Amino acid sequence: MSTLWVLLILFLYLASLFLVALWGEGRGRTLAQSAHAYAFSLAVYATAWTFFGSVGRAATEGMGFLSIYLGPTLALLLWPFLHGRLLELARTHRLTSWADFLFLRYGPGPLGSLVAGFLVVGLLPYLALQLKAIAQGFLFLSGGRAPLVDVALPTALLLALFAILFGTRHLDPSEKHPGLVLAVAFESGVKLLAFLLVGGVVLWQLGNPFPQAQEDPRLRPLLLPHEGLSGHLAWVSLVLLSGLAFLFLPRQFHVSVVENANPHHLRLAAWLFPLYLLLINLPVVPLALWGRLLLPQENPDLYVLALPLEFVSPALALLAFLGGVSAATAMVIVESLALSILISNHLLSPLLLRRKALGSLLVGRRISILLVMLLAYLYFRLAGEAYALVAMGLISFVAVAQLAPASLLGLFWRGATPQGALAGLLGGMLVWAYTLFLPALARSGWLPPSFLEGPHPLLHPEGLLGIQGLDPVTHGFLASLGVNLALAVGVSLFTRKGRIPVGRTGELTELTALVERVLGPEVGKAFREEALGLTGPQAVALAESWLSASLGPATARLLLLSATREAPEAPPPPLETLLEEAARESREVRAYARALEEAKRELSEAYERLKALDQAKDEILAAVSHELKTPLTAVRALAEILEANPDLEEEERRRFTALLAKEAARLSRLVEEVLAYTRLQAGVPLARSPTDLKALAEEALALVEPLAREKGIAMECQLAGVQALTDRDRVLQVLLNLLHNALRHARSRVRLELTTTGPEALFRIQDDGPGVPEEARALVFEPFQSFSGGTGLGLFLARRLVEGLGGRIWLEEGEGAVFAFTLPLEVKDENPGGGR
Amino acid sequence: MKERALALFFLAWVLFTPPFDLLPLGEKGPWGLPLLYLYLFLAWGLVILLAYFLYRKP
Repeated sequence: MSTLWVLLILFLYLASLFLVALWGEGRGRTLAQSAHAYAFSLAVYATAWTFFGSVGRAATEGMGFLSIYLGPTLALLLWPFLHGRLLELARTHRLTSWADFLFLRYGPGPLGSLVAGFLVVGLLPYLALQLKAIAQGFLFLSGGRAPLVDVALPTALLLALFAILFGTRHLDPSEKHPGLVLAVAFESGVKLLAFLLVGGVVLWQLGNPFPQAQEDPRLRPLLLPHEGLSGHLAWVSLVLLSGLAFLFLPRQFHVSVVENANPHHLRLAAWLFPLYLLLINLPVVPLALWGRLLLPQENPDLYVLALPLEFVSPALALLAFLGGVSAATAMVIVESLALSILISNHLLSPLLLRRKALGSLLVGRRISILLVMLLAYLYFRLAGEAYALVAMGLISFVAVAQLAPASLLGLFWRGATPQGALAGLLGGMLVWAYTLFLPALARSGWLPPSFLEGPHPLLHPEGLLGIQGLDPVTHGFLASLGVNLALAVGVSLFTRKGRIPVGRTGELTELTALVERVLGPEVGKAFREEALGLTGPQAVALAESWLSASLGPATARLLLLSATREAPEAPPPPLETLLEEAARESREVRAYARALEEAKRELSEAYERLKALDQAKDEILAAVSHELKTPLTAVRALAEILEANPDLEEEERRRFTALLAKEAARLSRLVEEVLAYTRLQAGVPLARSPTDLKALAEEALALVEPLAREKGIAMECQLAGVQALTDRDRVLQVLLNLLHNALRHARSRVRLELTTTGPEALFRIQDDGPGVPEEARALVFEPFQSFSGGTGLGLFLARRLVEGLGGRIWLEEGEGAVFAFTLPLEVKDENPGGGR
Repeated sequence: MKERALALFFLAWVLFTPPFDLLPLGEKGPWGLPLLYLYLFLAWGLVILLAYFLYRKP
């Protein structure tokens, strides 16, 4: 096949990845954050090593390849215990990796940096393996000629660019990267589809290989279980190992925890992801058998490409190549991103802090992606076909599994101590290096072959204590994990739990300033909003989680030292309880903040009301002065006329003195009403006593009788005998106000009625005047709204008094003006004075 | 649900790592399919099915 063709297809595919990611950042965001995308993104677990290597393994070693996929199935079944808990912690503390968790759980120390450095060393060959798969497949398809350009290098650079573009947009790596997730899910789809298609078409063309294989004595062992205890141990160890790798690989942590949009997505992923693995493993054995039967000379790792190329069509081989590329690229992108976050949070950021160059952290993270990629490429070029590369997949798995004891014990056992975790990790790493890593180097010829013999028969690198018959990976895994676990538990049991760290507290302004300085003004503002209403130590914890997501926990803690002081309170509860309660507390805090917000709103409303009242008072004062001024002016003018004209005619003089008396009466009435009003406002308590309302009404009628007679108005009444418990003087005042009002407007008669309706007494005062104009009806009970030369206070006072007594007053529709008011016969709800 | 998840995990563990040596998995199945792989894929499928019923929306 033409080299150019393959090259073109390869780069077209890589370009499509960028498009998918771009779409995921934009309109495809909902899809990228769906449960299905999440389940598919978990399939970043299946790498090129799955795509090409599984068939190779099945063709040489038989059933062993399958254990690599049964482990994750088992691990995912336990998600309510593992991922559920992790997600809760990750949400509260913005974890970006297991190293962050170890720092959080065991406190400051070398643990985080150690893990970060170790993982980079352990996983670099694994990355190199992926680049090799791409280069190898390319070389094979383009006819085995040396490629014009080394295709692995531009691919690696493109993938670095992709990871930088879609993985390091923000300083905070705990933020979601929907574009990246969608691209990874897309690649998972491509590799599944490609593998199933290749397997299906090859089997359709070539038929069922099993009957033939069963007869072949060389192939028969591939179809049988491993023999003996060592075989069983190898199987069980691989299941366990792959389960642990699924939990602890940095890229798996990244897609399953950091990029998780909703914890409920795990419900779907818990069966969909194992189903994915089952499907992608279906064609493995038939392909491996056909490869062995038909292409005995070929490299088993290339059967997936060779079978379609040889027996079907080059197009199908190209599809198989694309599938392998998709598997490799997804892994390379996410792993390099996860490693770069590890590097920047645990190695780079403490260094930059010392040099006061934290501002360049994001650049540092981008550079470390590039660096990881270039180192992986370099490793692949140097190692080539060496054992150190070929066998590295499982050796990397064992390296990653060293995190398990410290992490799982930290999650589930209170007694685990930092010393125990460190001792376990160091022991495990040393045994791993001695039993797996260094022997791999020795087999590649980079160390003297005598290393494989060991200094003593009991210290044989691939058979400690003289063990024989275990394959190196099983042996290395069991030895390193055993030592690791034993040290972690043992040392923890014999060390006292570390001094409980002193809690710290600080001022919100200082914390905000710090967050703003390090993470930018926008983040600072967001932090301020979130931290509002938190106590000092809580705000410090929040700031720490925010800072540590971007800068790594060690740097975050160092930075906070400057902005905080030791909390004076008693030592905080143990770290574990703190972790568990943090999520709940933050919910409560939010609820409390909401309640505060509500109270603040109510207070400001009350203030507004008070302000309006104050203004109303001022207005009343102005109105009263104005009302007083009119009669006063009249009185003064009349008095001056009388004084200036002593020779005024008798009749004229009498008219003036009558006017004077009238104006003075009006003045005194006004003053009386204002006094009544102020009494009302001052809240003089009610003086309730059993009162005969009928007698009271008759008294009121008698009081207005002279005025009525003077005006020639007939008073009518219809009074029922009613007793009530009420304030006599106030009721009389109301009646007088209403009767005066009626007399002022009546033409010939005024009628007063008293009846009872249910539990209330009902007074009606009716006149035959012009009635209240339509536009004034709404305002008739407001102060100083006079429409007929009255003081404008009478009806207002009547209303306040009635309401103060527990009754209602209203203006009825009808001829003339009809005012009615009720009084409760027995008062229960006391409202003295009816003050506003 | 946690109890059931744990039970399913143990069931899956037993199904995935039986003492293969002691089981008659060396025979030929239908179409010459090896019983070993038939067993493993069926057990795997069963576990996935149970996980589906367990974790499907509550």
